[in-house]
Amino acid sequence: MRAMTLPLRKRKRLLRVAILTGAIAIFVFFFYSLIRFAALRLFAYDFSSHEIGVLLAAAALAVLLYKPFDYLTLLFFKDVVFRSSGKVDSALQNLARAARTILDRTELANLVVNTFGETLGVRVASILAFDRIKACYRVVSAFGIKTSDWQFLDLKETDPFVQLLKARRMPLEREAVVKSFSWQEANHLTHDFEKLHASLVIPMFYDEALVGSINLLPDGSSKRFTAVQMRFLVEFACEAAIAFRNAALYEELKHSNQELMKIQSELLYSAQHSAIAQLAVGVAHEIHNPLTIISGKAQVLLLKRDQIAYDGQVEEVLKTIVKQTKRAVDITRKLMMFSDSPKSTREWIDFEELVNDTIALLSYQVSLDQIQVVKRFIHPIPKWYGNVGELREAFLNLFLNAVQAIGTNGTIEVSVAYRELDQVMELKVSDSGVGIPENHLARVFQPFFTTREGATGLGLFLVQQIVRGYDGTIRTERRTKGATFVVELPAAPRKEQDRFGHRHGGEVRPDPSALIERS
Amino acid sequence: MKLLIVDDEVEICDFLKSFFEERDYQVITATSGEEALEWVEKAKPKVVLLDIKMPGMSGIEVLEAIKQKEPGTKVIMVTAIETRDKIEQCLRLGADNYITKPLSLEYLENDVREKIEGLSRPSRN
Repeated sequence: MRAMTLPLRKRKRLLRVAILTGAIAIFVFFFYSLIRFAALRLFAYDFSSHEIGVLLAAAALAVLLYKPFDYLTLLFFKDVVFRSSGKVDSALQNLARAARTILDRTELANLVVNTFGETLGVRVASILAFDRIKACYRVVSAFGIKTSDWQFLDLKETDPFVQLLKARRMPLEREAVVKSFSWQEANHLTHDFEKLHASLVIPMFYDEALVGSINLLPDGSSKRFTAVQMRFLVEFACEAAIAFRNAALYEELKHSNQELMKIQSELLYSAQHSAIAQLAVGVAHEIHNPLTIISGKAQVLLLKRDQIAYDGQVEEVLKTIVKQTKRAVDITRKLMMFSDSPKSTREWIDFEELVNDTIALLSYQVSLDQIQVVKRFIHPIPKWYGNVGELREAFLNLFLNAVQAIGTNGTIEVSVAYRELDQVMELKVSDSGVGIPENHLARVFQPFFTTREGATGLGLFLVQQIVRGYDGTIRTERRTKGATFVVELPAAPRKEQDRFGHRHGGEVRPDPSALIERS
Repeated sequence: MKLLIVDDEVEICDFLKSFFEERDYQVITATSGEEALEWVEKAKPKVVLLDIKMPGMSGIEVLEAIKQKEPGTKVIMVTAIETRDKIEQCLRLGADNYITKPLSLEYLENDVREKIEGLSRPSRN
C-alpha cells in the first residue's frame, strides 16, 4: 500500500507542472488568435501565409506574460499548501490522540512512522526506543527503509549519539550538528545518522529520561523542515514520549505478572513435592520396623529348618514372606530418594563413563535375556555438573524400564549427545519392546503406575523427579516398535541464571513432561 | 560375647535378643539412646547394634558418645532410613558397619561374629 501512493509533495509538483504547461499552450493559442484577428480587422491583412511568424510572436508574448502568471499560480498553490498543511496538522493531532490509547509499543511505533511517511510526505521515518531487556536503544519500527536495515539496529546507552541527545534535549539536525564538532567526532555522528537514514532526530523525553527518538529524512531538495513544522514536531515528540513511556510500563507490568505466575506455580509444585517427601520418610520409617520383624521371624524359622520338621510348602511360604517384605522395602526406599538432599554433592561427570558403567552392571542380565545394546556417543560430550548417584539412578531406571519392556530378544539403543545451540545434554533410551499404548502415555510418569506384575511403578517417576531437579525435561516418543525416552538436561540450571537476570523473555522452553503430568 | 541392642521398638529388641541368645550371646537391650549409654558404661558390651532414628538422643549422637567414652566398642548402625549423607556421616564418626532394615539375619550374625573375633585378636595398637 505504501508503494502505491505517491508522496504528497511529488503529487503537488506534478500538478503544478501540468497546469503551467497547459496554461502556456492556451496563452500561445490565445495570442496567436488575437494577432490574427486584430490584423484582419484593423489592417484587413491575412496572416495565413506567415503562420510561423505569428506563432513566434504569440510565444514571445506568452513568455513576457509568463512571470506574472506564475506568480498568480504560486499564490493559488500557497493556498493549496496552506490548506493541505492544515490537513497534516489534524492528521498529527489525530495520531497523538490515538497514541494515547495504544499500549503496545510496536503497534504505536508502526502507527507513528506510517503517519509520518504517508501523510507528512517524509521519505524515511523511524522510531528508536529503549529496550530494557537488551539495555540499549533499538529501532522498533521504520518507514522507507528495508526491514533488514533496521531490525538489528541498536545503540548502547554509552553511545556518543545517545549521550548527545541526552545532553542537548533538542532536535538534532545532521548538518548543524556535524559542523559543530571536530571531524573525528563528526565522522562518528555522521555514521550514526546514516545508520538511522535520518537527517533530523527528535528526542523523546519523559521527565529526565530519554524514552527514545523520532528519526526523519524529509523529502524534497531542501531536506529541511520549516520553523513552524519543527515546533510542531517537537510538541508531537513530547506527546509521543508519554505514549511510549506508558507502553513500556505496560509491557514491564505484563512481564512481571508472567514472572509472578511462573513463580507461583513453581512454589505450589515444590510445596506439594516436599509434602510427598515428608510423607515418604514417615511412611518408610513406620513400615520398615514391622517389615523387619515379619521378615526376621520368617528368617528365624527358615534357619531352624533342621530342628523343626516341616514340609516343603511351609519353607516356600517362608521364603515368599522374606522376598515380599524385601519388595515392600524397595518401594519405600525409592520413595525416600526424594527426601534426600540431592544437590549437596555435585561434581563434573563424564556422561559416557556413567552410561558405560551402568550398562556394564546389567550386562549379565541383558545377555541372558538376549538383548542387544547399541550405544551411540556423539562427540564432543563435555563434562556435566551434577550428582553422580542421582544421575546413575535415573539412567539405571530408564535402562531397566527398557529391559523390562522388551522381556527377551530385542534391542536397546542408548545415545548421548550435546547440543551446542541451546547447551542441552540429550540422553535417549529406545527399546524394541511392547511400546506404550495411547491411553497410558499420560500416566507413565505417575507414581505407582505400572503394567508389569511385581514392579513398583516408581522407576520412571523417580527418573522424572531427578531430571526436574536439574531443570531438565523427560518425554516419551513412540516408535514403530517400542518406545523412546528422551531426557534433556540444561548445562546450567535455569533458576540460577534467572537469579543473575539473564535469559529472560521469549526463551522459556515448553516443558512437555509438565503437559503429560497435568493431563 | 556381650552384645547391646538399641532400638526404640521393643518388638525389634525382643526379637533380636532371642535370636542372638539362641546363638549363645549375652544380650542387653535398650530402647533409648540415654539408656544405651548407661549400659555401655556399666556392662561394657563388645558390640552395639544401634538404631538411628529414636526419640530423644539420636543414634548418631549415641555413636559419637560411645566412640568417645569406649573407643574399643564396635558399633553397627541398623536403620530403616538411609541416605548417602547419613551413611557418610556415620562412617566419619567411626561406625564399624551400616545395615539397613529389613535385616538379613545371616549377614547380621556373621558381621557381629566377625567384629567380636576381630576384638579377641591382639590389636595392633
